[in-house]
This record gives sequence, structure tokens and C-alpha cells, in this order.
Amino acid sequence: MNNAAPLLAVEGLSRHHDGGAVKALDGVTFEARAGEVVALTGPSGCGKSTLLSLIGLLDQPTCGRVCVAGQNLAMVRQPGNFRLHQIGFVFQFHHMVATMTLLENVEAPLIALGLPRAARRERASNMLKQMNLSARADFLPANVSGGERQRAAVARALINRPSLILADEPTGNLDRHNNTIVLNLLMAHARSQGALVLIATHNPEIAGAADRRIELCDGRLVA
Amino acid sequence: MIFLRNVLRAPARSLMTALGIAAGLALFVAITAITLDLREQIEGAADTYKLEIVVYERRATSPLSSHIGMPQMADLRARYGTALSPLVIGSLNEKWNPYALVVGVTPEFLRSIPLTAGEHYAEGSGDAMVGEIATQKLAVQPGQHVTLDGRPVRISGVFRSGSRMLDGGIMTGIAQAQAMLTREGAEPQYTLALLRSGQRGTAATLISEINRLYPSLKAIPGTEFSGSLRLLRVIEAFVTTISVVALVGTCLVVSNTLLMAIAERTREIGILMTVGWTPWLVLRMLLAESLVLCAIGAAVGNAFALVLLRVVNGMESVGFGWIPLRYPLSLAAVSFAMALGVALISLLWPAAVLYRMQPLAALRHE
Repeated sequence: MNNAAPLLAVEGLSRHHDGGAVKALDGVTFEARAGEVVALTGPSGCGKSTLLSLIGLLDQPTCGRVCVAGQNLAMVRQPGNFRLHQIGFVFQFHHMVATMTLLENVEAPLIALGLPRAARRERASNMLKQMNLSARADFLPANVSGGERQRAAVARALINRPSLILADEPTGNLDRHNNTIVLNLLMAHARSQGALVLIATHNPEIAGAADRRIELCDGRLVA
Repeated sequence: MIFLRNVLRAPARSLMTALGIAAGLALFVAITAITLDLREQIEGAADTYKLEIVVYERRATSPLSSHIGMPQMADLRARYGTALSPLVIGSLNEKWNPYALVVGVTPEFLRSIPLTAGEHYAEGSGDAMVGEIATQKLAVQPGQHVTLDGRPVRISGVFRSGSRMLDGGIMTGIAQAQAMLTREGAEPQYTLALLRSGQRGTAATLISEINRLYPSLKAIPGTEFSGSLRLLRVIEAFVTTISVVALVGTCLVVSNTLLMAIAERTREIGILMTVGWTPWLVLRMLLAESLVLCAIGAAVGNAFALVLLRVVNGMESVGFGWIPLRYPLSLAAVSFAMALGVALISLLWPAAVLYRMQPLAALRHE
């Protein structure tokens, strides 16, 4: 049992739409610690993506609160800056910028960080090397495979060494081989950097490989 | 070069935008070049002929539309002698030039005009001198004749005044010019008079004296001559209006292109915002694209302007020598500065859209 303070604390988190007629998320409470890989499971529309959006400061909760590294997200005045330093995102459909090469896509968060060009290039190149994508660094996303794109998306999420990785169906569009590669990369990051990886998934293989599983149904926590 | 890839993402749209900017700037550059040149020519001529004081009819809207009667001019000449040079200026609609400028000058004034061929005409001969540009268009040599006001006039020489407007016209004696430019039955008149300071006083005292002694006349310093021309004032107002309209249109074209780019790339902008980009960083990327389009537009616009000037210059209905074929580099620099202004102003609306954009909504954008 890990007794360290939770990196992520979610308390009574709700997100309602249409004046409460639609409850995308309803009173969800849980905690997760640094170094953990947590699978967020449940049927489509159960609120997994909504939960990730709220934790990632992409959306505002109707009620409840989220604390990351002890900081109440409701008090964060610059969500972009907070995401930049604390959170890495991996989406189902890689979400790469079409006119940026893989290297430039991975470099994008470092631009926001204000790093000099040479330092950015070096760090992004090293990250692509770790993802075994050095040979594809100067390729546009349209010219590489889906697996390579998703590995590049993982590299982009990890480049700022965030303490929290939010992955929304990161392997949803990948074959079994790439599925394993991406999962291993995320788990390796959690172990080596002491980061919390929260993965929303339908994939039982990923759910099984995670340290812990949180299940949602109709916006509520069921397990 | 992400911004270049973005510009080339929709090549047809980028091309159209750059051409739209080019058209707007070409219009601005061409008409400004014409106005600047016109003013420069008039000021150049005033400088060449040392126009110290210009005397013209007070109620005339501009010196070139002035009419000074024979008795009044005789009085002025009696007072100021050879320091005063009367001028008759007008234009004739001839087959060879619909705006054939005719200038009637005194023998004293005539001697100050340099020739490139032939000789000055003899006073009272009825001969004329033709400007350098007009002689090229007419292909006439000294000794040959041109038709003026329906009658053949012998060309005694070819002059170069330094002003293309004058060099596209004809100079002749006062009486000959009055005969050509005065309607049948009307009293011959002068247009204006040029006065040099000297023994009778300084320019300021002479101006004051004329304005006091001749209430129907107005004397101004030669340096104010171009500014007093109504034609120039009208053209400058016209140029300002056209320039503002062209630039507003250009800003709208660029703004529209950038808004379309934002609409097409909403999801990508959402991704960038999700990974920490601020709206300002996204805007900076759009600014680079806007600058590229405007720089290309300015370069092409300047090329268009040169072509436009050449085409208009070749139109016979405009008249010889009225349109410049080139313009100063400073005007090209101004056009690039305006393109920079367009690039910046065009970002205002897209900036407002970007600052209102929410990352989650952008990510879900279809």
C-alpha cells in the first residue's frame, strides 16, 4: 500500500449540461498517486472523456473539485500554463498538426515553454529517439503510419516531463503491436518519472495491465 | 518554415489573397506615383524657370484657370518691365494629342529654355518649338510642320524643359498662343505672369505691393505655386480616398483568408492550446503567414504598378508625358510599409476569434 500523498484527488466531481438534464459526470470521487497507471473504463458515453477534460482543465466542473499535486484546479488562473507544466495529453486520433513535422509537433510544448530553438530541437530529437522515431523526425504526419503518429503524440505528451498524463483511448486506432508499444511507453514513463498515467480505455488488455482500474457508468463511479 | 507550409496548404486561396493585396497596393502606388510626379514636374518647372512670384487672377480657382486682361497686363509690364514675364497656357484637342499643351512665352523667357535641336523661333514668325517627348511621338524635326488649331505651324526647334508635361507640348509666341487658345470673338487674354525680384524690391515686398495695388490679382511665392493648383488638390484628395478604400479592401481580403485558415485549422489550434500554446503564440504563427502573403502582395503590387503606369502612359487619350514610367524607391518602401500595416490590421478580427476560442470546443470541432 502506497501511503504517499495523492498526486490527483477528485472529490464529488460533476459536470451537468442543459441545466442538469444531462449528467455527464455525477459526484465522482477518487484519488491516484504518482507512479501509478490507472485505467478508466466503462461504456461509451459513461463520462471518461469528460472526466479527463475536467482534470486537464479543458472544461469547468458544475460542482466538486480536482486537486493536482495539492493544488485546487479551481484556483488556477492560467490553465494553459498549468497544462504546459503539469499535464501531458494523448488523444485517440493522435491529433498532430498537419503542417508540422513529427519533430516540430513534439517540439510544440517547448515553444510554449519559451526554450531556445537549439535546446528545443535537442530535447525533441532525444524524445523521438526514445520512441524509435529518429528516422521519421522530418516527416509530416500524413507521411508516416498510424502507429508512428501515435508514438509521436506520446512523445509530445512526455516532452515537458509532466507529472500527470491523461490518455484518452490512446490505442483505439492501433493494431496489437503498436498498442503494446504505446502502452509500454506510457507505463515506462510512469515508472521512471514517477508520473501518474490516467488512461481512458475500452481495451481490456490495457485495463488489465494497469495498476488500478476505475470504472464509470452513466457518469458515476461504480468500481 | 511552418508558416510557409501553412501558406501553401491552400495554394489557390493564398495566391488569390496575394493578388488581392497586389491589386490594392498597385492602385495605391500607381496613383500616388502619378500625383507625386505631377507635383514634382510642376515644382521642377517652377525651379527651372526660377518662379519667384506668380501673379494670377484672384477669383480664379487656380493659377492655370486664371484670365488676366490685356490692359491689366500692359499696366503690370509698364510697372515691372522685363522683370515680368506674361504667360499664356492652355491645351488643344489635336488629332496627334488630345491634350496638346500650348504655352505662349515672351522672347526674354524663351531664351531661358534649352534646346536639343533646331533654334528658338523668331518673335512674330508664327513658328513654334516642340517639346522633346512630343517630337518623339510626332516624329517631326525642326523645319517640318505640325497642325495646331487647324493650321500648319512650322517647328523651329526642340526643347527640353525638365518637365515631361511641358515636354509633351508646344511653346510659341504670346500672340500666336492667344490666337490658338482664345475663342472666336473673345478678347485675347493672358493666363498668368511671372515676376522676378530685383531693383524694385524683394519678393515679399513685391507680393505685398501687387496684392495692394491690384485687388483683382493675387501674387504668391513660386514655392506655393504647385500647392495653389486646384487640379493637384483634387487629385490628392482623390488619391487619399482611393488609397483608403484600396487598403480597407485589402485588409478585409487578408482578414477573410486568416479567418478561413482559423476555421479550417480549429482542431489543430485546439491541440496547440491543449499542449500549452497561448492565443498569442497561435496569433504569432498567423502573423507570419499574413506577413508572407502581404510581402508577396507588395512585391507583385509594385510590379503591377509599373505595368499599369506603362499601359496608361501608352494611352493616347491621356496625353503625352503626363504619366511617369517609374517612381521613387521611397514610394516602393511606403508600399511595403503599408503591406506590413495591412498584415497587422488584418489580424485584429482573427485575434478576437482566437482569444475567445476554448481548447475543448476547438478539439471537438468537426
